Amino acid sequence: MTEASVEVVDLSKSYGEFVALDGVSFRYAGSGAIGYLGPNGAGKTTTLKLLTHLLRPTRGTARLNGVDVLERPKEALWDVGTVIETPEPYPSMTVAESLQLVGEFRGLSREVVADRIRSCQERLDLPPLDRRTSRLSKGQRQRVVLAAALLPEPSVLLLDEPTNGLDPAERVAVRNVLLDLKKDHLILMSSHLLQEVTEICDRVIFVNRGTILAQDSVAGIAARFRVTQLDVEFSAPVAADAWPRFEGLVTKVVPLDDRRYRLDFDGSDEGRAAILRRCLEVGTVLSFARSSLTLEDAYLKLVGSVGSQGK
Amino acid sequence: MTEPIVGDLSQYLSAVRHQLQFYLRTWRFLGLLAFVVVVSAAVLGVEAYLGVGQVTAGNSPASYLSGFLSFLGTVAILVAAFLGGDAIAMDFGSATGYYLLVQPVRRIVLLLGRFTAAVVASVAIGAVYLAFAVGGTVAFFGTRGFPVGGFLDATGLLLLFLLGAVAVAFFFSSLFRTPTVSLVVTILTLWMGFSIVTGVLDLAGVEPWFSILYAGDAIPLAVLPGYAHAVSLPGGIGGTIYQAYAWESAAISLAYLLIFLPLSIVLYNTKEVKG
Repeated sequence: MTEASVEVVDLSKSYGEFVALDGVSFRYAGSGAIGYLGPNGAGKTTTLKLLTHLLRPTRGTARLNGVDVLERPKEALWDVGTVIETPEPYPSMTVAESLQLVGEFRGLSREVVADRIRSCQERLDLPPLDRRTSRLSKGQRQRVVLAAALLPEPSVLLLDEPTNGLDPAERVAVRNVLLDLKKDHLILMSSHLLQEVTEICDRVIFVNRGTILAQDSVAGIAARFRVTQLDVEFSAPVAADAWPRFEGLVTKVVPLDDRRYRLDFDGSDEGRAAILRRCLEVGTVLSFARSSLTLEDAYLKLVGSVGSQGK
Repeated sequence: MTEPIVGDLSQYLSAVRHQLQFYLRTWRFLGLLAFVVVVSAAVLGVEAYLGVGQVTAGNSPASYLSGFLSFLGTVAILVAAFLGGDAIAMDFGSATGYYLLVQPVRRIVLLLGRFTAAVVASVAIGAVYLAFAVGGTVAFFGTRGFPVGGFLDATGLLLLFLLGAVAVAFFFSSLFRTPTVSLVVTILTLWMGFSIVTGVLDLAGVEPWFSILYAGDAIPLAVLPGYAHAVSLPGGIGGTIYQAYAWESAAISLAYLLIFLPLSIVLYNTKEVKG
């Protein structure tokens, strides 16, 4: 059995009566990117904090590269780069000194750190190295923090909304860096930006109210949720009395406009064929297609709308 | 990454160096240093203006030196509070904790590195104060009769006192999450709190053997050839002023160090980064 790079087993965290995380388990090895998705307060940052020894679990274990985070945090975090919340380096330090400090703690020589800073400068467009970090904009600081996470070239990256505070161009730069890194690193990243997750991640974990709702590959999640809908466009509005003819074939009809309809069905090929025949009977069909399901649709189906949170 | 795990000692030295750099770049250390320099220079300036005869009349080198050092305890308390009062709280009250505490470094190593840096910076300021005191004594009395042994005792007591005071400051810093609150509470407790308690106990005739200020008050006394352990308060109001022996001062400072530094380590190790 391959040693997992990131593994949590029955991980739980409570604050008095409030349960922030309840029995979360997942296990990933090798390389690739895993998106950790959920609404605010779902438990994403709590999980990442437990993985980085910033919090202590009420129950369960977290392991990085096979090392228990609670029992041996230094060893567990040795080959791991992290960005949790919005970190701030010492405000009295320059950009270079902030990165040098990380390099020293990681046992890197000054020359190696200088080399890697140069590499980060190219990839992340770092601010001037002699500038105090207290004088950086939020985006600049975030890029420095990302550089600090990448500096030791760790095999595992734990990133909590890594593009938070970045402008669109900076986001693209970071996305490209992550796409490159995931080829030989394991990245676990939380994000609210589902488009970003779709572009970067191979697998996703949906979490809400401290529990995992689903975890699968992005394609697997799409497969789980794609089957039930068809979008049909007619040349003219369909008469209301035509819809009873679809009884037994579709479970729900939602008009998208006066000529387009979204039909829920059982997802079978037979059902789809029967619905097409029936559509041709009731009108002239201009288009007939499965509605494409995005990660956003899966997210909304799993997590629910914003209005349903906290109820 | 392929580098072997770095030992604690190397990381400790990095922590010391970076904390010292932090002190050198903030107003606090330089401000405290400037304060000590300006006040000490002003005192010497006024005394020089009054003339050597006026200063030396009725004074021995030891009593002059002791008088000059009489504020050293208070200065040392303020220095310890300002340099150590938020050294740990900053990890929890600001986002620097998210940068530093996720690094593969034991928290005890970070704490001891910062503690060492705070003590070094405090000793540097204390040394400047001592240099002015020695300079004044030598300038007014010459080198003859300079209480070398007593001065070395006072220096040793100052070092122990700073260790104890910085340990208390670190304890408060580990206790609170907000750096400003931690700093203010440390200053209020160490400076005002202990002063009030010691004053009240003096009136009640109780020896304040547990007070760190009591230990500090012995530093200027150490240069004197002999002093009374207990002195009745003047004016017939009753009460007794106790003056700690050198060994008492050393023991109290050491006790503060041995109690509050481990407590700081425990608090820092178990504290979670929430919010």
